[in-house]
Amino acid sequence: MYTILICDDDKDIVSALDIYLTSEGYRTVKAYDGLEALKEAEHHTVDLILMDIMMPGLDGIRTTAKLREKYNVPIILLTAKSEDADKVLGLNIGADDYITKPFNPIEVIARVKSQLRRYTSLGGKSGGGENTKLLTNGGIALDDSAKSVTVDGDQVNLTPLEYNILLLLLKNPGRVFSTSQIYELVWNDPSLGSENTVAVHIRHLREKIEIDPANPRYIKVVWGLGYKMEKL
Amino acid sequence: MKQLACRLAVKVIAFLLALGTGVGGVWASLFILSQWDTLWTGVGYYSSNSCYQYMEIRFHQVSELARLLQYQNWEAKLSYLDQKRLADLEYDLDASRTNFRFSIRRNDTGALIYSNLEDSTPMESSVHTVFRDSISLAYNDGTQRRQDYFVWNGEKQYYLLYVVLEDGNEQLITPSDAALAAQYGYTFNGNSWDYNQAQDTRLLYVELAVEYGVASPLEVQDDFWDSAQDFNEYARYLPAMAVLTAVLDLSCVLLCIFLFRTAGRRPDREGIVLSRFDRIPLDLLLLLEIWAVILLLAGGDPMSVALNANGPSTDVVVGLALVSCGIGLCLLSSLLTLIVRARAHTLWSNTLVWRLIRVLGLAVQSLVRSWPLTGRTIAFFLLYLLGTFLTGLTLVLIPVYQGLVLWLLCRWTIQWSRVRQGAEQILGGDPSFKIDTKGLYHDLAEHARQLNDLGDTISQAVDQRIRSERFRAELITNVSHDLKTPLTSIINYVDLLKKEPIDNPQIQSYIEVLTRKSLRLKKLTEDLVEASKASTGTLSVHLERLSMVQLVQQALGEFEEKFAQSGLTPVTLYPKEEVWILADGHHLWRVIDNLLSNCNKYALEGTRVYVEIARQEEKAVFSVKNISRQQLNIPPEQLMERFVRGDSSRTTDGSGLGLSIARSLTELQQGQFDLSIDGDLFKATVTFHLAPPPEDAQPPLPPV
Repeated sequence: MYTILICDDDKDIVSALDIYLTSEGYRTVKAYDGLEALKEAEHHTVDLILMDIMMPGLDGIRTTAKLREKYNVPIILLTAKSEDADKVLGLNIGADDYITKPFNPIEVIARVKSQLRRYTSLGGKSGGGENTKLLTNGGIALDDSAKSVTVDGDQVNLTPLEYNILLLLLKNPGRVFSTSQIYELVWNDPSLGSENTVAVHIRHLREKIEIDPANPRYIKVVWGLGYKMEKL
Repeated sequence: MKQLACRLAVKVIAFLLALGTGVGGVWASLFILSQWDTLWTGVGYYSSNSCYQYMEIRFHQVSELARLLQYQNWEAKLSYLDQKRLADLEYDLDASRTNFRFSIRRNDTGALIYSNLEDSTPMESSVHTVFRDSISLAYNDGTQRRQDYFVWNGEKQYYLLYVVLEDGNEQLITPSDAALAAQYGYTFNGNSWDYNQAQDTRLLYVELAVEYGVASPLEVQDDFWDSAQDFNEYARYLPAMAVLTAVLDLSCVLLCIFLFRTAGRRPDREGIVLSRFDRIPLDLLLLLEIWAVILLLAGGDPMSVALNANGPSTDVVVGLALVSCGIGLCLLSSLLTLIVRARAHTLWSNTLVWRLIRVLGLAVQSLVRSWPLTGRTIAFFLLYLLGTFLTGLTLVLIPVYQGLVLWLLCRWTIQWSRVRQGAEQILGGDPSFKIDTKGLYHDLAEHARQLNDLGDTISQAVDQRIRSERFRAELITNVSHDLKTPLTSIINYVDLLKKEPIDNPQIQSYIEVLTRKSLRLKKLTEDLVEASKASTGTLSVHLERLSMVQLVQQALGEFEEKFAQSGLTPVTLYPKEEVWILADGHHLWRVIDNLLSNCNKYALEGTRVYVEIARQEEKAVFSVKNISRQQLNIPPEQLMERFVRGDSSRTTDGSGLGLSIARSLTELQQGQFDLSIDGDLFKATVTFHLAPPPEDAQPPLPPV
């Protein structure tokens, strides 16, 4: 039973999030501005915080900075601002993730789950170093011996080609592969350089392992150059 | 100190002191200069200049005496006037009346002719220094004529000499006839004839020796006595006078330097201050002062004569002092005002002549300017013709005049090109540029001013436009931020509604509409923000080398299923080699995303979408062609405007911003975005400059 602190000056948003999170089985604590959030964080043992940025009084950015002085719980920022600079500032100040408004409730739940899993299973993960066939990056775990893939602990069903693409990218995190390279390495055929096949497969793969396939966290599109596995 | 130096009272005192010391110094200097021998030789009266001057006078008297005595000897009788003159000279030169001592002897025999010494007294013992000189006298008794003619014979190349003989006849003498010439006193020196009076046999000739000197000690109270008195007097005071003169002159120079340095400056005001005196027209002032100086000099002249004649008296001294002060005042004040005017640059402009020229010039100028341009051109041409005619009278003036006209024309051309360059600069994107109108011809200056004003207006309009664009972008961003928050609630609560168990299918269909429309609203606000950011250029662009084929493949991969749902078949055509361009991958993806979305939304179902990449010269051209579902009844330019869609596509989803965003983003990356419509064929092209392919070899690929 995890406790989630929801902080937003818009009461309707707070109660909507409350409904979703409660229905998922989380306990919630509500706050309507930064100072309240700080107070609530002291009174309760909070496992995750959802924080709006634009709030009267103490705004989300400064509240996050204050919270980070004491707690290392995951903080997800909710923001109506979509400028890149705001996102970078939020992440630099100590937030773990951000969701831009207007958001999809399913996405919020998925991100909350992801952050909680990583937060709580941090200790357990370091012990599992004996399985050399296990490749992990962020919430993704690929067991090559069992040919199985889990994302945030949930089993994901992949086709053999998708599996091989993921394997290639996971083995070389951060490296950019062009579509023809991926084609040659995964299909084992010389690339003719004119297929969308790789792109289509990668999109399918993204739909299976990403929370928001349009804004992927793991398999990033490097437009005009190829794809890469973001190191997390 | 500087404050003190500029104070008026100090200056007035300095001026008066300079005047006083100047006048005193000039007079003292004059006196010192007049007595310079006394001061510098310092050997006593007998070597002084005044002593020599008096000796000179006496020597002239002795010469005259000697001539009269000799003529008396030759002619046996003198004329009445000569007798009187001889008696006067003998009286004047008598030893009892003068300290001058002399003796006249024949130079050949040494026989004494006349002396004012005692018979036995030798010259050496009675005078301070003995001076000796000779006097030559020649006499023609009237029967002999001694007029000679020199004749130059140009053809024979030598000199001829005609000598008038005693009988009146003329005799020709050639240079070869040297003996004959010599008897008339002539010798030929190769070029011309030299004449020696002593050898001319036609003349009576005698040479007299004069010995003279001044008695030492002085015995008689004569002019020598007086000047010796003066000399001794002056010699006593001269050192003191010299020092005084030096002090006066030096202090005058120092005071003048001080006055010149501070001229025109005041402690309480910056820059050069012109007094009322400095404002008098310079030519008038100088004329008045020169006139005053001439008057003063004329007044001073009789005074100095009186001073010389009668010695110093109170009236004369005071008069001379006043005159010299007046002259000094004129000189010093003119000098000071000249300096002040030069400093204030009014030397030339504050003269009557200049004012007159200016008034006349302005009158002519305003008259000419009131004429129409054509009239002026004709007038100038006629003037030019007149000038050509007038200068044509003198050959030398033609190149000068025509050169001047050419120079004026060239000057006009240069100025005109300057104005044109300025206009180009204003039009070329620098509307705040100002053409320098200084020194331009009147018409060009006016033209340049108008262009400057035009530039001002343009830059103001541009500024206003930029401001309003920015304001609009900000407004859109802020409004959409405000929209987003309630929209979040709407989306969430509609979703919650959907999860409630509702049996009524009517309500479920209503909720479906709400879901669809709220998502549409979400997309609209996002597009709105992006469009405003892209069009105002507030987005950051990171250009890097990327493969266009790769990007289009990736994009088509994203759209594969959507096209399949709409029944569209993409047909791709890529060049054989890689196409590298410089672009921002993320922004270019948004461009292609928008274009493909457009196809997806508006293309006729079951048709093909042609996606093509081509290399044209140095450019990479990406094009998308599709058949529109509806008739396209608006021009392509308008399609790229914000919120414009084909009328019939109003009902479909989409914000009407897609093409506008695509164009703005393409232009941000220095690409070119074009649309064309041919019937139902819709074609969009995106053009970029080709980038050189990467040089570094790809690292070896790892095996899977």
